[in-house]
Amino acid sequence: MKKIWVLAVDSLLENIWNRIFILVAIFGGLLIYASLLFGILAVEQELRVLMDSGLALIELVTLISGLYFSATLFLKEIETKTIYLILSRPLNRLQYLLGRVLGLILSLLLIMLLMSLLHIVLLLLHGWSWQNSYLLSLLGVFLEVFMATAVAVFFSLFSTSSVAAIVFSGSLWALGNFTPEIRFMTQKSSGLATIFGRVVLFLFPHFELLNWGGHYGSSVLTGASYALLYSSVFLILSWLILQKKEL
Amino acid sequence: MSSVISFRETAKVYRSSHLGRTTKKIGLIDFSLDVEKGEAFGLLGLNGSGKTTTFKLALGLLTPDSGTVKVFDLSPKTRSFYSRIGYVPELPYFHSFLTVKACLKFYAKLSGLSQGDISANLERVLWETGLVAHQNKRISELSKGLSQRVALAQATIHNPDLLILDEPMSGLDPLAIRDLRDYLSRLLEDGKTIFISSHSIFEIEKLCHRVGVLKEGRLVRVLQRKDWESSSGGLESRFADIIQNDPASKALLKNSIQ
Repeated sequence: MKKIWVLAVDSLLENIWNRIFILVAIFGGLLIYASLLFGILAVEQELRVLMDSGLALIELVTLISGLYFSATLFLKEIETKTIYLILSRPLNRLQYLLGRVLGLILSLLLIMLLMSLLHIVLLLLHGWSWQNSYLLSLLGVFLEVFMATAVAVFFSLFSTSSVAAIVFSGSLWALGNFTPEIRFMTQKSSGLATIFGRVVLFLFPHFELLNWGGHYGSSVLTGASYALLYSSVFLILSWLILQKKEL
Repeated sequence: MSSVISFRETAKVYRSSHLGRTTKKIGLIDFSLDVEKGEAFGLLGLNGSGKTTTFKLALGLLTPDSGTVKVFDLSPKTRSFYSRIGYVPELPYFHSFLTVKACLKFYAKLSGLSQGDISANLERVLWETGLVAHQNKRISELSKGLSQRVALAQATIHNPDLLILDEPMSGLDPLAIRDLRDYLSRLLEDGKTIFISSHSIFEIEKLCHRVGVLKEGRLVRVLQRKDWESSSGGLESRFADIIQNDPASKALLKNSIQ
């Protein structure tokens, strides 16, 4: 466990030092500031627009960061030979994977913390009063991004291009936001289309389960359990690939 | 003497697929070798001859297609002996934002050293590699020679019995090479085993007890120190002869191709 933590802190420090991380944080700040402008345009619903657009931007920036970090992680470590220095130590590939994924989680949490602090300050300045549902929304955003990054880690392990890993996992994330529509179409279709729809519904993430305040609302426990299970499946598959991977 | 590393008829073929076409490249073929405890064994060969593949197989980073690899009498898949190995890859990378001290602490922790051992070993290794004055500098501030010292320091911080060094002299100036050679000689005096590759034949000649010559993935000759000391041109001329003219090695390669 100690070695996993050492690797996780190393990943976090690298991401903090990485200029892209800083740029993303600035970018997020600017985007949230831009959401103020949307708020001004929607005079009657200013607070609601500020809340919704802010959360959407937090999700987008965290997602982009998560996909970038996870898709480049192993390819970069192999390219720089850092992975050789680590795996020639008394630790196994599972510890290595867990350490790096934990570092990724810590990095994403830090990005979200910085952006949500900024967002909260903006909301308070506009007369918002604290609601616990805000934390639930952030938890939903985090779990959604974590699912997408777990998929990106999986793709990055058998892809030679980080762009391909980002595109695959990003597409899965985008389509995961339309699973209610896909389910509806599957119910209305027949034959091969139904089978195809069912396969898609089985493989794609069901992000509506994390939309605790929305129309498809599920319990927090159900949604969180589903997200952790979905991510775990991809991380276990990643581990199986990493075990066999020739370095 | 007992074997620290043992290869038996080991083979490794790299396969890559593109648009349904699979291409194969021989990494290592019919490779048998024992590296004995306390010796310095050098691998010489042209680029792509299989030196790095040999090291990666010993470290369990690659799996052989056939034959066996054993390190301390165990398969590299058994990770229990990894605290006894120190490895320096060719042109290693360290986080540029870390100080020398922080970087070495990171690798010491991954090697499983306790907090007390980390402090003691850090002090020892900084002194042995001449990094005491540079310990608080960032990696980005270091010269190539100093970076290579950091590479050696991370490989020896846990006081391993076996050092695997892939081109450790690459890009170093003559003084840095001399310092590195002196350091490796001291490790040999302490009873460590060194398995090294280098294009610097002169350094291999001075350091190693035995040298294996690799050609196109096959170990074509193992030379004892007396073999090159009795030769007028030293190891360099023996190596050139083997690579260019040696009929025995040509026959071996011909057989392996067939």
